[in-house]
Amino acid sequence: MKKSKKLILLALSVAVALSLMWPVKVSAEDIVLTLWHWETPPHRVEKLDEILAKFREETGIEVRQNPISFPELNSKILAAIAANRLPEMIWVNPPQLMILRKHNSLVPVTDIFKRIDAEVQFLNPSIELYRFDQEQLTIPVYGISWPLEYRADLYEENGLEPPVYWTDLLEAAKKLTKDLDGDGRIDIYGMMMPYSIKGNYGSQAVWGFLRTNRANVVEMENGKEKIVFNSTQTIETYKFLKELTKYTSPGSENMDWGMGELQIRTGKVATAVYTAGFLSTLYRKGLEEMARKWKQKFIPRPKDGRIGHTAYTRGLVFTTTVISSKEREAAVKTFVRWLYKPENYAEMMMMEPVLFVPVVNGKSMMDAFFAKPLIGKFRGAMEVQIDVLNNSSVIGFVNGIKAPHAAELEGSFTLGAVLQKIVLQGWSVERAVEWGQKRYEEIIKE
Amino acid sequence: MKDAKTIPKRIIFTLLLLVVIGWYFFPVYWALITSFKTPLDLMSSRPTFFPKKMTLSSYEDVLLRSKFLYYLRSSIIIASGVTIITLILATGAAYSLSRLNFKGKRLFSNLILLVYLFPGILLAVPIFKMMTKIGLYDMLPSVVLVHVMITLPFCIWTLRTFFDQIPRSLEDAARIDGASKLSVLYKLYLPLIGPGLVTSAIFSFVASWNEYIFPLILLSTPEKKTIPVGIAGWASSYTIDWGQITAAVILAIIPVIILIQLIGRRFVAGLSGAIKG
Amino acid sequence: MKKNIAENESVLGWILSTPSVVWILLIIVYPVILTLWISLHQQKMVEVNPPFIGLKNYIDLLPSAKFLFQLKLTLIWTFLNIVLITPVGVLLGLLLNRQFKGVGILRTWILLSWIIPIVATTLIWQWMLEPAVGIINFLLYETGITRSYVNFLGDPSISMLSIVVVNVWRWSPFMGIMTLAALQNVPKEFYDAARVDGANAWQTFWHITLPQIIPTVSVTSFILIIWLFNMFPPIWLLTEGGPIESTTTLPIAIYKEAFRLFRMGKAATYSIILLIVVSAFVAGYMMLFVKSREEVVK
Repeated sequence: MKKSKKLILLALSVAVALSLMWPVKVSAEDIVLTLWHWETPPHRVEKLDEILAKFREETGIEVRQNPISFPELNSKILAAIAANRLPEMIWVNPPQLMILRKHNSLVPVTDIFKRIDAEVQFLNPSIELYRFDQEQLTIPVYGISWPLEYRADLYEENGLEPPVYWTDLLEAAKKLTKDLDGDGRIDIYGMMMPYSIKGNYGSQAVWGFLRTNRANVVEMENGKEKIVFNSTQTIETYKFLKELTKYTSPGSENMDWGMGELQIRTGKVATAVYTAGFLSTLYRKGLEEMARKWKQKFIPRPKDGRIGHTAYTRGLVFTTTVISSKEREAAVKTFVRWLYKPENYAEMMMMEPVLFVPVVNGKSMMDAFFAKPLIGKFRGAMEVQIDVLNNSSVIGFVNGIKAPHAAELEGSFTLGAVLQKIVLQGWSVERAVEWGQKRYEEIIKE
Repeated sequence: MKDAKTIPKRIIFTLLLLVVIGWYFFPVYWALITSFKTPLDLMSSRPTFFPKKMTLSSYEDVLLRSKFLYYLRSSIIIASGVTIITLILATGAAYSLSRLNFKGKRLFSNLILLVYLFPGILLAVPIFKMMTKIGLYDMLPSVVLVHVMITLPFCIWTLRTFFDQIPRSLEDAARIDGASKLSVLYKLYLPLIGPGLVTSAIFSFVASWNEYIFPLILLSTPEKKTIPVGIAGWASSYTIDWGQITAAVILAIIPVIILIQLIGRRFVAGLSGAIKG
Repeated sequence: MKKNIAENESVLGWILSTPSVVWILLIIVYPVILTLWISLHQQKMVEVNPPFIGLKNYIDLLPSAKFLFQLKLTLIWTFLNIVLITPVGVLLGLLLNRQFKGVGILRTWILLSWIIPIVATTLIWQWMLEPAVGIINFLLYETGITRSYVNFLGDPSISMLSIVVVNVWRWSPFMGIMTLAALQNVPKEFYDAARVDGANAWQTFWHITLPQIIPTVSVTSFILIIWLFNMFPPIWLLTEGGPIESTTTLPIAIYKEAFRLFRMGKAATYSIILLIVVSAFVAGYMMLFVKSREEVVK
């Protein structure tokens, strides 16, 4: 007994000693650049490691990546700002951009952006999103689109055309909600329509539909934000969504990305607003046949509506750390220019094939991209997602405005909360929308 | 006559045992078989209890194609450091609070609870700032420092209870034999509070092992992350690889189980005959 | 007679206690003071010169229906948890104290529910509880216990209870082990003496076992309650405070204010109020229980 106790004590003491002596490897002369992002799944991290290793081979400059889990991203960025320890580069969405901009932690990238744009031709929406007062604050990296996914085989079986209008979608949702094995319980649901505030998904699914009916959250008037959520367009949209939730699967009240994708993968739903990324996952796991059953298209709109979607463009920002020395600045610029070479960019898209949407248009870029085998396989899905990106917007950035509270407005998940109040609490649509309006107004007050 | 009484008792007891095992272990069993399921099984809409086909591909992915082993190393180093430091500091503090009289004793024991009165996430940003200022940016010891702060109060309070339960008469007897206050601590008390030390050690190790907010904020280098931070990362994107996550969870359990086995023997030994009247 | 350090009770007491207290205070004092300072300002994110607004945050927050509701939820959460964890844990401890085949193994492995990182625990439970693809609903249906889906996490009337059950699952073994440790501390002679005196099982339990485990169990419960007030991960990871705020306790509200709405001032205010609430509980406990314990020890 005593001996084993001593042994443990010894082992633990060694561990303590080790922990106190954890080596700091970076030598003074080497420049090491750091890139933060939130693509945490191991295969994405692995792919980026490959790319960064290739860069180091060719140029001798080391770039290290730090994947951060998305829910903690904001707190980590804030902590870094507070401690003055920002990495040189971060891949951001508009909310994170606003955080960094508010603290003056960014360096405009207009010059290098122009140079790269000449070669790759960025898509317009991604450019507009990140242009502030004539300066470009990010270099667009890739996009994530939320098209309508539908089980083409089931639609065909049931004599349904892929839905174009809201009425089509309702009809399809109704028809495809079925008890397949006659046991009295429904086995498949026509449309997965979350009314959840757990995570972004619930609000993301709603936003696209709002945009198809020209509804909006915030506009700028005389340089100040004005909440325009409470409108006939919004009310019409929520009335439609309320109908739609009749055909959604249980679990929609608390649905997040992970659970939503699980329901898609296990065949519980026939339609959903979701990214096509799960196709490559299915393929990678040897389930290509299942992947083939799903097709993508624009989300349905009202008869007199427009085409609108939820989609995000990730941008690469330079933080103020970049200009801390001339060598650092040069190294970062070298890296970025290298990254946007057709072959390297295409390889970067392969971090998560079919999920990452290229935000470039140049022929050599697209050729390199579509030459990748997996992309070639799912070319249809890719093309739809690119189209979706071109017809999308983000809360607070509609029609070229840049709402200062965009990050908070999106982060409040009010869109999902409103639908929840309607479906779970039985509020009238008008009352719930009014509530949403008040909530948004409170947010922009501070 | 004894048998007639004990049979229904035994049945109840066994039933109780089965309920206990079922409730506590079913989710773990579920995680275990999920880690061995093939991708096809994971996609099926009908849950299966015994996978027809088993595969090690999830474990392969975790061990070979992710940074899991790095996470394991970080977690072990941090948790071990935290445990040792906590045990040393807590034992001394608990002894002094229980057996010694000094000014401010009451204040001390209440002040240390201050740590638990705040949600961790709010403390994270200011603590990160502090650690950076004192040169511990992105270093494992910064996490050790914070975790000790978290484990100490509980361990001190618990160990004090154990100290309290030992009759003072024992100490008086030892003192008469000429032992100093300090040697009384480690010669007499330490062996007697064995179970208390064991639970404090287990608590410190597991609490540190499981905590994810501070390693997340304080550490930046991917290879230094701890297991919970790593798993949280995998679970937060659009696609959740259930096989991979459950495999990582099963693997993460192993070091802790080993530790508990090693020091948990104390439990079985018990206290028989240690106290002499 | 020489009076060296090892003898001087007062000095020894200080030497042994100070490292712990200093360690804790050094790390916690700055954040606490900073939080207090922030709560008196209208601070967004980590901006440098936020406007000073005195007690306005408190005046706005305290009487608001939203806050009172969240406070109520926090109290319900804490109460439900401790009222279940303590008895279940103690019973578990008593069970583990017996001798039967495999008890040694069970004593180690029972902690599994607590060892698994909370991130993974909630992921697994979320999956199991999910109405459409989860195993629990599947079993309930197949065995005929239910006719349709039970929405454990999505039904506002049972969401809190569901999370409580998961948390009890997670923490009761811990309470069990603490109880076990206390039980193992009971000298065998006590039980032998009782048997000799002819005491039955219930009398033995009431007069010998129970008094021995009460100190440990009450200390553990006490600290557990403090943790419960501030507990964030289980609720956040399972429902993020939903649906419809049916599980939004104060820590959840704090997180949303700080990292979704970036209203640090309001988040800090919440924290200080929560601090006061928990301190009140601690003070109450001290007054009621610690005095009597000190008397007992003497």
